[in-house]
Amino acid sequence: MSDTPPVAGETGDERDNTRLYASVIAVEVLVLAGIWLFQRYFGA
Amino acid sequence: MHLLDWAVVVAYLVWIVWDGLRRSKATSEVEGYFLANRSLPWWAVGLSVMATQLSAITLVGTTGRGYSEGMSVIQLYLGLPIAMVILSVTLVPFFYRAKVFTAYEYLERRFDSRTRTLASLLFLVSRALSCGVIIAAPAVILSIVLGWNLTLTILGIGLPTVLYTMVGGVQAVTWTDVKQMAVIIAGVGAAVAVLLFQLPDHVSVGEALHIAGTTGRMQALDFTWDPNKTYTFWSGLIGGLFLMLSYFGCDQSQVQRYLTAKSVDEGRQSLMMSAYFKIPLQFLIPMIGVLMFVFYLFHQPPVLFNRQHDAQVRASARTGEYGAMEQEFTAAFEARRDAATALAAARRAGGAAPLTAAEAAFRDADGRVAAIRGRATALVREVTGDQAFGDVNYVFPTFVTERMPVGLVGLIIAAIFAAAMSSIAAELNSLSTATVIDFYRRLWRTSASDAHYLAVSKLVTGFWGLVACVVAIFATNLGPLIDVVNRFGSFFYGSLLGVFVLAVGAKRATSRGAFWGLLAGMAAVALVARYSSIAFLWHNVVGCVAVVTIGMLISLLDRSSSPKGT
Repeated sequence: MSDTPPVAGETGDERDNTRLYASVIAVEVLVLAGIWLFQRYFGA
Repeated sequence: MHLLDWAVVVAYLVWIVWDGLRRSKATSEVEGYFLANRSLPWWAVGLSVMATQLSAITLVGTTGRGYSEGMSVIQLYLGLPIAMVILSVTLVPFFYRAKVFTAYEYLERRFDSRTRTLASLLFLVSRALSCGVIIAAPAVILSIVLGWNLTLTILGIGLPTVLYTMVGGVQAVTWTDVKQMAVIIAGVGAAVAVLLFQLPDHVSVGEALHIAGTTGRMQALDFTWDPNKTYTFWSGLIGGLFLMLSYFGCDQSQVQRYLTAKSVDEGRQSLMMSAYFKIPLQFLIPMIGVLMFVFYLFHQPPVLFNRQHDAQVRASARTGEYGAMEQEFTAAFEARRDAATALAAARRAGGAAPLTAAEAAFRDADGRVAAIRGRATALVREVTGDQAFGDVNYVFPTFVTERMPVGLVGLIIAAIFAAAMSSIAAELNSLSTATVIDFYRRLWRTSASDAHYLAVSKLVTGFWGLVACVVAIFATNLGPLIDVVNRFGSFFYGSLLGVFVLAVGAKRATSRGAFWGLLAGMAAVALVARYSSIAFLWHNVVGCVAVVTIGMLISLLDRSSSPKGT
C-alpha cells in the first residue's frame, strides 16, 4: 500500500473531456426545456 | 399466469443464470473477480451502472406513483447529469490512479484506518439491509398479485442471483446487467405500447394526456420553494445532486461498476451514459403510471388493487360497509368515464368556455373516485391494523396480470425480476469486495495466497446473499424495518459524501476531523429528521455540509496531527 496519496490533475494519456461535459449540460438543459414544454402543453 | 408467460419467465432465468455462470472462466484471481482486471468496455459498464440503480422498487413503485400523483417523481433525477460531470472530473480519476478496490480504501490513504473502517462498516450494514428490502419489496407484491408463495418468490429472485454472482464475480454481474437492462427496456416499451393501443377509439393519445393533465398529473416540474415537499425542481436539482454524488461517488455498489472499465476515460464515458439517458428513461416509467390512470378512466379498476387486503376486508365484520363502498365506486367510475369522454369531445370541438366547464366536471368526478379509494384504504388500515398500507404499488402488477396480452405478462414479470436481480447482484459483489478488501485481507489474513482470497470472496458473496434473503423474509413481516433502512441510508449518504469532499477538496482536513466529522454529520441528519419535516432529499445536503463544516473546524483546531495532503 502506498503512503503517498494520489494527486489530482490530468495525466498525459487522458483526453480533454471539456466538450463531453459541456454536451451533457447542454443536453440536460434541452431535456428540461422539453419536459417543461411538455407539461405546459398537456397540463391544465 | 398462462403457460407461455411461465415459459418466458423461466427462459429469462435460465438465460441469465447460464450467462452468469459461464463468466467464471474469466475470474481466476481476486482482481478479475472483483474488478474484471479493469478490462470492460464503457458501454457495458454504463449499462451496468444504470441497471444497478434501477431496482424493482423503482419499476413497480414509480409506476404506481405515476398513477396516483403523476410525473413529479422525475425531479428526483434532475441532479444526476451534473453529478456525473462532477464525479468524472474529481473522484473517478482519483480512484483510478489510486488503484483501489474499494472507495473506502482511499480514505485510509488520505486519512487513517478508522475512517476507512467506519465508512466501510456503514456501507456493509446499510447495503446488506437494503439488499434484503430490494428482494422483499417486489416479492411481496408479486406473491400477492400472482398468488405465489412469498418465501418461494423471495428465494426465486434471490438464489439464482446469489448463484451467478458467487461463481462469476463482477464479470457475471456486468454482462448479466447488460442483458437485464435490455429486458427492462423491452418490458417498459411493451407496457407503454399496450397502454397506447388500449386507449378507446374516440380518445387520441394527445387527448388522453390532456385529460391526465387536467388532474395535475402532467406537472413534472414544480418550481415552488418548499423544503417539506419531497419532489420539487429545487429538491431534485440540489438535494438530488448531493444524493447522486454520494450514491455514484461513495457507494461501493456503484464505484465498483466503473472501476472495472478499461481506462479512466472509459470509466468517465460509462457515467456519461447515465448522464444522457437516465432522465429520458425515467420519464417513461411514471408515464406508464399516467397512461394506466387514463386506461382506468375507461375500464373499471378495482376499488383496491391489493387483492389480499380486499379479501381480508370482505372476510371481516365490515364487509357490508365495503360492499356499499364498491357500489358507490362503480357509480363514481361511470360518472368519471362519461366526464372524461365529454372532456375529450370538448377539446375536439374547441371553445374555451365549454372546455373549462368540461375540465371542472371531470376534476369533480375524479375527486369523488379518489375520495372513495381513500375511504377504502382507511377501512383496510382499520381492519388489518396495517397503518403503513398504500395501494399504489399494486397498480402496475395488477394491470400487467389482468390486462396485458399473453406472453407480454411473462416479459414484464421477467423485467421486474431483472430490475431486482441486477441491483442485488451488484450489491452482493460490492458487499463481498468491502468485506474481503477492507476487513479480511487487511485485519485477519494479511498475507495469504490469491487463490485463498478468491475462495473467501466467493464464500463471502454467498454469505451476504443468504443474509439478504433472510432479511427479505423478515422485512415482509416488519413494515417499519423498511423505514429504518431508508432512514439509515439517508443518514449515511450525505455524511459519507462530506468525508470524500474533505478527502479530495480540503488539504487542511485531518484524520481526526474526518472521523468525528462523519459521526457529527450523521448526528446532524438524525436531529433534522427527528425535529423537522424537511424532505429526505435535503438530508443529503445537511449531512454533507455538516461533515465538511464540523470536520474542518476540528481539523483547524487539531494541532496534534498534520494533514497528509491531497
